Amino acid sequence: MRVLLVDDEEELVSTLSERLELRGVANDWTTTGEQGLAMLAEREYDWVVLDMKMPGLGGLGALKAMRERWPGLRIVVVTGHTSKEDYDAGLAAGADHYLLKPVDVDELLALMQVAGDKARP
Amino acid sequence: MTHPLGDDQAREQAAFFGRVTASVTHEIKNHLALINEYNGLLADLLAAHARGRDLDPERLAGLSAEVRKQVRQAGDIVGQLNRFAHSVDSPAEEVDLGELTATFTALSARRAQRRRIELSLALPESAPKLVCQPFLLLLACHCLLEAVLETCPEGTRLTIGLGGGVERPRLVFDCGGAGLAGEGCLPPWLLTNLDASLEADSSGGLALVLGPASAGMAQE
Repeated sequence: MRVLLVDDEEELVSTLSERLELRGVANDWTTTGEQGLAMLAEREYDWVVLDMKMPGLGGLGALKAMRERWPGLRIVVVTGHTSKEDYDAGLAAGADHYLLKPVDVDELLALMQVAGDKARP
Repeated sequence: MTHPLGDDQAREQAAFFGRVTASVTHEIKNHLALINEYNGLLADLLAAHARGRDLDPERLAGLSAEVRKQVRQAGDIVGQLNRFAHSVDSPAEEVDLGELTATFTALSARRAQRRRIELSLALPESAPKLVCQPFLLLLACHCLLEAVLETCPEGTRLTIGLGGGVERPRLVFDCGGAGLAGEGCLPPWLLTNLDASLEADSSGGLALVLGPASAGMAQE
């Protein structure tokens, strides 16, 4: 399993990356949605963990582009905001799961393990 | 009970207070989240060490330094939020424009950063002082910033500077010479209250020209 982490908060995303690595999960990270799309085009990933609140393309823009180009990709969107609008927009744009920031690394892994056996419709 | 400033003015001020508080508490939450993450990583490294993995002292020292940095940054922004909260204490007081500009910049940095714009300060050694309600001046800066962020190109630096001397101190918002638009961004009641006007600056930026200063900066 290989995971791509996309979050504009570099210290947060790099720490999550290191914690996943310590649990044996191969991963890469970036701080922009644009770069995330470029990395997906270069390498195969099983999961993307995507922050919804980012400047530029933004999480929602990146999510829509990812879903369009890689329909089978599993995407977890994360946000520090608890608004129903964010939740609805993320799911409507094709996110598989939704987590609140800061991401609990064990919760994320449990989610991936549970979902791992189920093929994306 | 009717607010002495009128409903619209009271609403605008309450909205500003709420917006700043929401943004800053979000920022504080981010610092706390990072401290929590560093703590989690430390626990992970110790658990890995218990399983036989080497423990790198430099990595631990690095994590400790990161925690200190986050605590200091959170403390700084809490201090600025406290200054902001006290800006409503008095209807008029002598305000150091340098300190007020620094507080405003600290409170607004994250908002600008979300639009990929870096805020910076350009203050003279001795800043003018002005008698006004600091909260209203902060509100004026906020309205101006909101308008400027709409026209300041992404990836640029927005400098907030002070000039104009004691007669008519100027708070200048300059985005590297890019033409900035801000017409109508400041409600007339606010300009009247501050004895201020909005002007195009020779740099291409926008200047909030304030009433005569009470002390401080040497005449230019």
